[in-house]
Amino acid sequence: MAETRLWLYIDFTRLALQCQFGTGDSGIPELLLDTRGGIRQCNGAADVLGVRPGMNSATAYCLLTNARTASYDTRVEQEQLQRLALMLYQVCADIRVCSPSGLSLEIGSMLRLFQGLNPLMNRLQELLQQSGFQYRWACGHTARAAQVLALNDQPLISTNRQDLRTALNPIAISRLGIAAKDAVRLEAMGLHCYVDLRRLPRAELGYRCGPVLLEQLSALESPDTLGQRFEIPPHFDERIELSHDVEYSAGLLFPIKRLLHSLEDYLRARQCLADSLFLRLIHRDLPPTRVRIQAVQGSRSAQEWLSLINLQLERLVLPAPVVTLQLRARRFRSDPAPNGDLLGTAYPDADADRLLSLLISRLGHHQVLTLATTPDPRPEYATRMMQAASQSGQPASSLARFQPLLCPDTEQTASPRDYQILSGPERIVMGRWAQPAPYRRDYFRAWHTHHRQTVWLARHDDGHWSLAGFFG
Amino acid sequence: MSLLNDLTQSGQLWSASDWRMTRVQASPSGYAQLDAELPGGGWPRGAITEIFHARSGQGELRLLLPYLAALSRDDRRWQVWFNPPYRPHAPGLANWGLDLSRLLMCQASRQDDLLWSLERCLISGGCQAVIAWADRLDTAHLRRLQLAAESNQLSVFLLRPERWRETSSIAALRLQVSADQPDQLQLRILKRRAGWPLQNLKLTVPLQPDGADIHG
Repeated sequence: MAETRLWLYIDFTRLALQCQFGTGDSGIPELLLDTRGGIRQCNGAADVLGVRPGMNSATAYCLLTNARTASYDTRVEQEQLQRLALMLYQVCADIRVCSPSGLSLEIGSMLRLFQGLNPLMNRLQELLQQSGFQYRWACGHTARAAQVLALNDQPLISTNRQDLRTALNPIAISRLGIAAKDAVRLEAMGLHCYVDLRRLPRAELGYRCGPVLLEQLSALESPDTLGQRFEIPPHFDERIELSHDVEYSAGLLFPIKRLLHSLEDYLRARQCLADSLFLRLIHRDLPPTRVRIQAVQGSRSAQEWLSLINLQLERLVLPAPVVTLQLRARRFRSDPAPNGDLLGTAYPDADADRLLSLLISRLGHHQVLTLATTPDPRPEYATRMMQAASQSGQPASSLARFQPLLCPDTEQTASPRDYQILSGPERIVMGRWAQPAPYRRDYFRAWHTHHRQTVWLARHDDGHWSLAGFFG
Repeated sequence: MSLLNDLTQSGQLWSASDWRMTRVQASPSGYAQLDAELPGGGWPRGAITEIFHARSGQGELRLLLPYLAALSRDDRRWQVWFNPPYRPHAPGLANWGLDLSRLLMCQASRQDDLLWSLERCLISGGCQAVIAWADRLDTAHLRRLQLAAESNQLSVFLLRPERWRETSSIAALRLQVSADQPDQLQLRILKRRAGWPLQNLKLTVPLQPDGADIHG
């Protein structure tokens, strides 16, 4: 097993910078400053003008006429690294997160699935190019070796272990990732690159330089792992800090799309569907605006979610500009097995469910209801209206009664003189335990001689009459 | 000649001499007397039907219920009711044999919401029929609805106040309903495809369906 292990290290060179300014190429120099005022990362435009990472910001400003700056944020960088790991999880099962900006992938076990190294690398390349983040990578026979090669810009992609071993030879001692103190000592001994070091007997080297160096060197040659193993988080919760305040809800769609693509990756990796999303629009001073989006049978597709969100945002008036977006999904359902429809991709009720999701998004949860009967004999309580989205399982059988089709929500008094009684009385009584008050009414089917309506009248205990319904 | 044949076949063109032979896609309404007068022998499918009534309780809904009940039992898709003027009473509707689990009650207070939702119901393929209580409706929008209904062969019933009777409309069938007796309706067919307007059609529409038991 150990023989087949092969590691790929991907280093995202401008991860923190691209998190702040986006992955597009603006042409304007962009600088990422660390806490001490030095340049941590800069983009290509700044690089052309002579700015280098590690430079003092004052020096950098002398070289530039205009520049966009942001300060380095570890949290944003780590979140993005997790997102990239999630994206690559589609291709590779064993991913290790090497902070601050690297991912170590064990690809040896994936080669059989992809039938060779090239198809696998093509797929990875496709995904990475889609993400837009700049990267460099290398394979290695150990995780550490792959990392050293990648960080030294040696993009060696090969399964040949001999090639992988010899590729390390010309790497300078100072670039091997060993302690600077040790590197200086080795340089002083006349050792310049790794091949020189490899020739020396290890025991002697340990005697001179201490066991720490030996451990670091042996990690280059013997299988070991790097970093923290990536695991899919149990919930989806992501936020985007908007680069400028958004005042109109239409302007939110574009950043939401980014979140939704990330959600799609997440759901695909977990092989499940989300049935509702919670979107929080965070304002500077006011409490956040919350939007709940529901897809009746669950959905994964970013496009479908976007159209539902769009419907809700169209009606939303923002109380204040939005500075941050947060998208959460907590409830998931398993991917439905293809039931009943062997040829198509849709399941039989897909259209009905999609229609329901659309109506809910446009009209709101409280405006789209389903009906059911209840065992309660009082007409006011005999109908239960439920939010259609919360409906689940098989409907209970309905209790049919010879009663009107439409009932007024509020009590309307009626005068029995206007009506001709057709049948009745029919008494409905509930005992003293009934809340809020004991209930006893006599119901009559009646005909309004002037308005020509067939209605249901109720005579209350205190003798007054009310209109209880219409035989529409 | 072939164009004439095509138009006649599809029910777009009819000749006065044999108008009863014209083919119109329709489903039985459940009232034989009414079916005899409706083109195609029932409620038109793939078209808008407008029913004008003065106030609730005049049989406007009972006229539709036999058809809607049969549809709800046979079809797994939604039957969508928009803006009922009062709360629908589930036991009463169940008495007519409606499968309540297929009904969706929607309230769309704004006109553009209503029209958008109606159109979405008609084109989504997730809906079996639409019933909407509607007041003012834009003619251009009605035409869009008519096209959407045609494309999916769905019935759309618009229950509207009497005062809109005189305005022109694209609807395939326009009826005015009034009640003579609790179970006696008087219908006026204001417009029908392949036929002339018709006055004073008497129709017996019981307060509950024939098969249901009288207990209640």
